[in-house]
Amino acid sequence: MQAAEGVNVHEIERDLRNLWEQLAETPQTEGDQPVMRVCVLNLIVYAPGKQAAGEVNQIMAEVTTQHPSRIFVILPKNGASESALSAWVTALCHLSAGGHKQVCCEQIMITAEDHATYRLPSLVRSLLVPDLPVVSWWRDVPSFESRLFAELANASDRVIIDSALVQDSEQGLAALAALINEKQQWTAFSDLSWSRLTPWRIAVAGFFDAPDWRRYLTRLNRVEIDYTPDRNARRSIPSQAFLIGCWLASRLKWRPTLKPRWNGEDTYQMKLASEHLPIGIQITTAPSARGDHRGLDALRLVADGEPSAQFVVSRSEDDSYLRADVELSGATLARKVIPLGRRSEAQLIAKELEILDRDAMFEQALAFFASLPR
Amino acid sequence: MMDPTVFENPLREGLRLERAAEPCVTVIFGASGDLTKRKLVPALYSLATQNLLGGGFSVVGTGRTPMNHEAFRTAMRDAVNRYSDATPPDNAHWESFASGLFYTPTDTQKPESYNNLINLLVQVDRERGTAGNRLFYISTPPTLYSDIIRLLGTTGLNRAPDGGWTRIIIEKPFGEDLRSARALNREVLQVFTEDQVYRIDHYLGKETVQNIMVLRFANGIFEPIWNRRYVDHIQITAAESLGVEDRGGYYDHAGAFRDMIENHLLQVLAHVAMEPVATMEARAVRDEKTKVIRAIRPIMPEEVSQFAVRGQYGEGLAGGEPVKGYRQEKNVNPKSNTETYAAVKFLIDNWRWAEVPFYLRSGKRLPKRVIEVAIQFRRAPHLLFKHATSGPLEPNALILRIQPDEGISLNFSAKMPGQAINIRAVRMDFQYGTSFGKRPPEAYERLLLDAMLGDSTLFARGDTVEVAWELTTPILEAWTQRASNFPNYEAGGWGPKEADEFIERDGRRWRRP
Repeated sequence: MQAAEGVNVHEIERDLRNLWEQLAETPQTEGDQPVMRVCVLNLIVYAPGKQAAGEVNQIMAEVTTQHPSRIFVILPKNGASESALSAWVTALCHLSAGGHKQVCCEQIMITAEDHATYRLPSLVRSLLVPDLPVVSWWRDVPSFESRLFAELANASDRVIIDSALVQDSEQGLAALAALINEKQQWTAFSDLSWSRLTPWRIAVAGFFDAPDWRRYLTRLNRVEIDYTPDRNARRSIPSQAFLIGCWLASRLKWRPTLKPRWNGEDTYQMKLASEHLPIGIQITTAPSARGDHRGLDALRLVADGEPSAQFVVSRSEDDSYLRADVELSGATLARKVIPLGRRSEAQLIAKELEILDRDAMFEQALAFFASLPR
Repeated sequence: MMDPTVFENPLREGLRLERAAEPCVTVIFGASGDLTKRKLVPALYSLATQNLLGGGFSVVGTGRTPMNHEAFRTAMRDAVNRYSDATPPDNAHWESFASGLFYTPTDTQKPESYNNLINLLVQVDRERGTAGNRLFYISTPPTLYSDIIRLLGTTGLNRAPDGGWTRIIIEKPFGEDLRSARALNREVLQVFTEDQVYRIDHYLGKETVQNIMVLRFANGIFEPIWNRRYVDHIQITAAESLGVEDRGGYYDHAGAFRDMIENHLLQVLAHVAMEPVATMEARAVRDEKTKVIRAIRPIMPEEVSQFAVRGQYGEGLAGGEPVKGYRQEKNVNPKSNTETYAAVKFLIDNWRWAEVPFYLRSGKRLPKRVIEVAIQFRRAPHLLFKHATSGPLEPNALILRIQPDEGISLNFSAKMPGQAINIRAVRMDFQYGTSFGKRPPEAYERLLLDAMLGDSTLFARGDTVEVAWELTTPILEAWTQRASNFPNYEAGGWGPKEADEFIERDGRRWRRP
């Protein structure tokens, strides 16, 4: 059920009250479930245009089934209109798990003319539900330098971005690392590109749960990362490929030895070293024959000495699972399947909203990236 | 101390898996039985799909039924399809899980029969990297417990291979009275050390039971009023609308008191009444739970009728449908004196709870299925508004609903809008299902994972089990010796009238949850 009405910005709180009174007073017919208002956090979403705002509405309908929240959707718009800021209040409702009640929360859509966006943070701050966490999701190319981004980040306990949207991932990740460093005390950051790596990290970690195989961690000397880039992307390494490589390097205490460099058109090499031996991380980007597919394809961790070992994680053809294979001295010993499950944007956001503290592994991976010689 | 979920694998840290187990083999005795199909394997599959089991995780099923690995895998896939909440497994995911399922027929009473099991475990360790970590799960009829435990000792399976660990989960019932519980404890501890033993009570794996401790100890506002000064009494109810269904044979031997109160509800009471712990370590929590059960005032045989009441349902209407009486149920003795309803009043002799009664009740064929803890607070000391209410002024109550609609409610009084002071009882409600749209894990998922992680907090310790039987055996013995007037309540009602009289003697009444 959705009810919407236009409201004056200064009367949003009053209209929210009216909305709830109307919902509570709606005559109940047989079979109707009573309405329950629930709010567990404040979620501020920046949507860059009308199409994005429409998509965000759909995503929020799904996210609020798991995290009923007061949602602010901020939509900048060009051109002159009657008011610089306008807002709508909407109720988002769904049936509770047992189907006994309608669980409802509220969404406030705020549009702002370009010249009025500076007023948005103060408006949102005045409407936040007190004593609840504040999360901002910047559903656009992160503009780390913008005043709006900075002010929303200041108002938030957590900021969610997607580094995959950044054209120049090296520059983007470096800017993010600097920002995290600067805001260390108050605001945590999430990157959806990093979240998408979780099943890959689980698969890789799973190899080394077995003590007999864990000893190969100190003998790894090669890491190969295969990635299918966006067809239209210019030559660059996607942030995901950097992040998984830097995660391995930071966890295994490898250190950079040489400046990373391109080796030909589509291979990027990072030269590192552990306490014991030199290590190469090679990222290869190649267009896919599989239609629209893009993203990580395979990750190989190789120990070349005797006995040799290869730990390989690869994506299934239908994109539904990862396959984890172990080869010791050329013989395949074990194979495991890790479900990828649904990874819609809504699912990713819902997962991110479960976590409010800092993600130390992400920050370590970024810090490693920032430490690479340039 | 290192976080046990990391266990020296540096890539495990920070994986956003709340807790993940080391690779291990779970050996299920009674693998062709109902519990394996309905609960254990669906729970393990669910843990696997959440990536909470270490790489190479394996299950070895054993039982009298002759079966090969493939037949066991097929039976378990059917079980997961039928009983798991998770989406039915697709081929790739199932094949990955099933590659770790093995079966070996074992006559659990014959030592030579264990050789195949030992060989299979060695093979699994070698091929799947399970590193000698073994979790035995005894899910057979209780009559086989002693033989299995003894033979695990004789064959050396009680000792972990180098670098590994060995643990054992023992299903309830753990004994049927004090004498048998002590005997079983002795047998178990001759073969295993106490820290290897996990006596399971699946109630403790329920999310809302665990939340009792969170509510008490993670909030500053409840603990100061959690005592005799503010609490009038506490009611713990486990009502079941069904009859005994297919469990007539077991139930007619056990009865409501053994089946529910002696273990499940007494454990819930311990969570509600225990003193705060300094740490959440298993030993600290289990010490406090044992202490509070030990502080419950013993009920002498001659006092049983003052402190406990029993009932058995006759014919009646359940949900509007006529249903049989207990004595007419399948596999039940037509002259059975087994109670299908039991209520007991416990008093805890310590500073916190002196003279605060804890009423525990459980029954079958009651009007609805509900499990809850109700903390009834004392009335306001001065009834300022006694002429101004629109009905009797209800005392405050904090209700912890364990199922269904898991959540917490606080009942309090509020002024009705208007010129006059009219007061109504209102309810402030928190529901898990609405605030967190996330499926809570099944109790067996939680407990199996805990055992793999070596966390025994939610399992009963040997001395706790004995203290509980010490407290409850006199009641059961008194009931055995006295004639009953069964059946004494109609199916579909809230129990026998004696139960109402029992609490009304104290000037209180049962809640109607």
